[in-house]
Amino acid sequence: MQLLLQSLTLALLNGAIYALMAMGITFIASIMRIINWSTGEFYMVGSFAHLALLTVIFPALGLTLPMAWLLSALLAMGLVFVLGMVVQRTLIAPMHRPGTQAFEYATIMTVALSVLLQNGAIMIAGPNQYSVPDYMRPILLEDLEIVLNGSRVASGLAALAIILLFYVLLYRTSLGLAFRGIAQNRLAAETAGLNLKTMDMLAFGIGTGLCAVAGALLAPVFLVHPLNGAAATMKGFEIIVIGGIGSLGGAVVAAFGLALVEGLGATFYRAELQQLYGFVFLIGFLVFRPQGLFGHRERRV
Amino acid sequence: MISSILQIRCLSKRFGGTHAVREISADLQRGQIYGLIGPNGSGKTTLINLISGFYAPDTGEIILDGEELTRRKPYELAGLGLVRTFQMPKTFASLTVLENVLLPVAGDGRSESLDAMRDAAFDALATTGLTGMAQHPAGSLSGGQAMLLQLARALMCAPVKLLLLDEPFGGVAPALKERITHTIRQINERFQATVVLVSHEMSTIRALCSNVIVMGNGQVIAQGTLDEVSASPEVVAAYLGKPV
Amino acid sequence: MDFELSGKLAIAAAAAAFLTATATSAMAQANATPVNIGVLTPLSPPGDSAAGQLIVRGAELGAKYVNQRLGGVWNSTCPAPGPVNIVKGDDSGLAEKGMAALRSLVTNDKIAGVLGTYDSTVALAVQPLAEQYKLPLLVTQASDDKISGNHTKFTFMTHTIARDRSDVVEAFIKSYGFKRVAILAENTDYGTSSGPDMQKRFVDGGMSSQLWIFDKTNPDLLPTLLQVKKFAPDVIYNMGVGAPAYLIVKQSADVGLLPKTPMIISYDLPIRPEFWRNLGELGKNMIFLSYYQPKQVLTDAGKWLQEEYRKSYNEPALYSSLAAFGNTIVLAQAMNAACSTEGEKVSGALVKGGFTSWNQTGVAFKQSDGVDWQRSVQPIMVLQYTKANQGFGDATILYPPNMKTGELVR
Ligand SMILES: Nc1ncnc2c1ncn2[C@@H]1O[C@H](COP(=O)(O)OP(=O)(O)O)[C@@H](O)[C@H]1O
Ligand SMILES: [Mg+2]
Repeated sequence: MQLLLQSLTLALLNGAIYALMAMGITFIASIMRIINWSTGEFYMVGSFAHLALLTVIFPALGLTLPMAWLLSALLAMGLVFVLGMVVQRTLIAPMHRPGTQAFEYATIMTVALSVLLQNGAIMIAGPNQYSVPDYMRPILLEDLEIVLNGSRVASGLAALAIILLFYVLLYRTSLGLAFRGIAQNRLAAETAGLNLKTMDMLAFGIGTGLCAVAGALLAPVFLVHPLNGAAATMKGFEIIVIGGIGSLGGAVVAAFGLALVEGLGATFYRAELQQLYGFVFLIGFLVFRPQGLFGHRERRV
Repeated sequence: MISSILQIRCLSKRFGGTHAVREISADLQRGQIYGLIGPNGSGKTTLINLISGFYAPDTGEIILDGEELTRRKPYELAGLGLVRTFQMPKTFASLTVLENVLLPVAGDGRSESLDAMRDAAFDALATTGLTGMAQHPAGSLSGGQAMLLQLARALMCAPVKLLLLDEPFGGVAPALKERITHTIRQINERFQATVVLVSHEMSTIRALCSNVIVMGNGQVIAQGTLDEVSASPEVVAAYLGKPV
Repeated sequence: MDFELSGKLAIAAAAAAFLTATATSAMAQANATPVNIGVLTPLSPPGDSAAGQLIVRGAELGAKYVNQRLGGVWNSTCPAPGPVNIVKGDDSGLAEKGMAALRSLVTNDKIAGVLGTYDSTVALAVQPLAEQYKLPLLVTQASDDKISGNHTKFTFMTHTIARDRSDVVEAFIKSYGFKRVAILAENTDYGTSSGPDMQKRFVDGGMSSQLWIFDKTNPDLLPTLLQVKKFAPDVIYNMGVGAPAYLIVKQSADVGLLPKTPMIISYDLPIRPEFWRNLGELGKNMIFLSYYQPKQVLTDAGKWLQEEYRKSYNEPALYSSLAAFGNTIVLAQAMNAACSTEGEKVSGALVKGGFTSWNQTGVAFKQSDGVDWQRSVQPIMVLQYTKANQGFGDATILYPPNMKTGELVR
């Protein structure tokens, strides 16, 4: 009972973070019609930016704030948002012409980018692992005999808040409407007067920013090192395939679903197979519902 | 006051061996509604696509109200007051009808919030008779309603200088044809917009258009009132498929 | 296939050999050409370039020691003394790059011996090349037991192998009376071979022990640790390497295993500067294995290195540097003993032994059975921190008994 409660809570917290990463991937995919294979590396860059801000730059500025971690994580998101836009404009946009051969290269470019970022990080930061101080003390639920890592709780809640904000951006602002229009039909959106070049750049920045803030929030839990994005990439892609490529709602539901399947499987069956549960879940979907939870049977690309 | 709004000079477009538009030159006047007719395959859609920036011309230039259009992006043209509809209506199926109408405003960087533009949007919906459908997804509209939705969207791109309509009546229920005609008139009157209407329905052309341009084989073969052009032997020949 | 040299050909060959031999020795005497020693180590990603850097530093200081204190190679007893010189080769932690780099060291730099390998895959890949070139290869920090198990003539194993580590952990756990051992191992070669081996040793020793093998790429170990908690161990053997080692510590605390249950980390991760920054209070009573503790007794050469290293780099030397330093001076001593830089002769001298490294005297590479072929055994210590943010030099030595400096803190 206690184990069940603990793993359910964990699944909920993990789910929120997974959702953040998956939304980053699926958002870029639905706007730009490319899969960003460097997702995990933006997650990694986010975690390093957070590490630098929280443990070097803030102390150097004499900044001591309550919840400094949240400010730092949001700043890390902002930095990667800008980095993402620069990368999109300089490396991806020149190849990103839908309907041409070059379009394929835009996806390949994201693969190259992941290698570049990873090696760059090893070069700059070395192969060692770093962490940031815990965000909150552990939370002890005496009656239930449950201990929850404060950082997990804090980062899970922050992730939920960011997901909510992202939904507000999408469904309550004119920018969000423009994004939803482009996701539906790029050509029609362009005739309606939307500048796809700018919108693509913004979308790439936002998508990578979402992955980055996940990495930043998880820094005290999953550490900061050049290879910490690998799991993020894998989880992210499992989720978007399960949820249906291009479906944000699907990504959110699939994120929580995956976290639940993994958590319960690993706690009550065999822990070393944890990564495998996700794959089984994924393969189940590919066989019985290849378009994912909320996807359309054909991809419009 | 009659003044020139669109000048086309020596415009050509080839697709492989097909010379879809050959060296067309034309001068359209502000506030006029032009009928663009011609047999299937005569190049009407290609001409519309060239003017609206979907195709880059092989040669020639297009000047709208003093602005050279040829190397501009489609989204920039919307900002210059050039609006078009598609033969197969392009709507955003999972957005609501209201959101579809608001979309052009979302992209133009104006500081007004969506809320501020809502009145204009409802106004456009009223003109097109879609008010009742405002909160429905656009995917649930019939073909004719979708065409009206494209026109409602055009109403939001104010001020419209040039409206290009590619067969807006194709497969539309008669009751809605009336509404479409009404909306075209509205746009024409409200903005002094020039309209180019591609259609096969001579009665509508007669009712709406003061001036008709006839295309055949990628060229303009006649221009004038409907009665004038119908009398032209070249037009008759083109419609009968005979060489001139 | 046999064949006899015809008379003329044999004479010509002998003459050529004679000429080459005299020419080279004359050249050596004329210029006292430095003897090049290669350091083949990871200096760029994906290799662990930080470790490679430390290895290079140790080797360079080793050369300095040889030149200043031992008078170069071939001194007093042999003619033509010469200084030794270190030449770097970057293997990037990759077998094929290592092979290419070694070929270049041999053909372009004419090295007389090589040391420095850090990754087992690289060591195993260059081992046949060393045979082919008759080049003494001192394996500095690779630990695969196939390296010595292959019984090759020119490979000399100076690092510990998995078995040494397992022996020490087993002996330590027995001597401190632990009864329930939880083992957490990665799904890598290291984890899947050593993990089950450790469990078997504990169970054979009458303890109860359970093994969890986790996915190295999965940062979320809580479900595993919840199972560990159910097992209620009285000691946890943390076999994670790098990030997982930290994750096990942090997440053990999340489920309440730490700080109550003692934990052993299987290598010297806790001596890294970021250990305390990453773990803070959680690192307080951490037990770990190490080949070195700054306060241990060193040879004179070892002390010299400590001092020189601090002077040059303004920080204490770590094991990688010490090991490379030791390899360099042992190799030079062997050349000296052989009065030669010829691979065959140097190898012979290494087998005979009697050399001094940074922590041991009488270093030899006996051709013993199995994995002990041409291998000099490194002592391994079990250390424990007793305070948060404690310096590495203040960690208690718990094991081996003859080096013990304090009691286990629980
Ligand atoms: N994208 C295209 N690729 C190749 N040929 C085309 C393309 N668009 C139009 N055409 C050809 O150009 C000619 C004119 O077509 P179109 O402009 O669609 O005529 P209309 O609209 O008057 O029926 C036709 O022969 C058509 O097959
Ligand atoms: Mg047409």
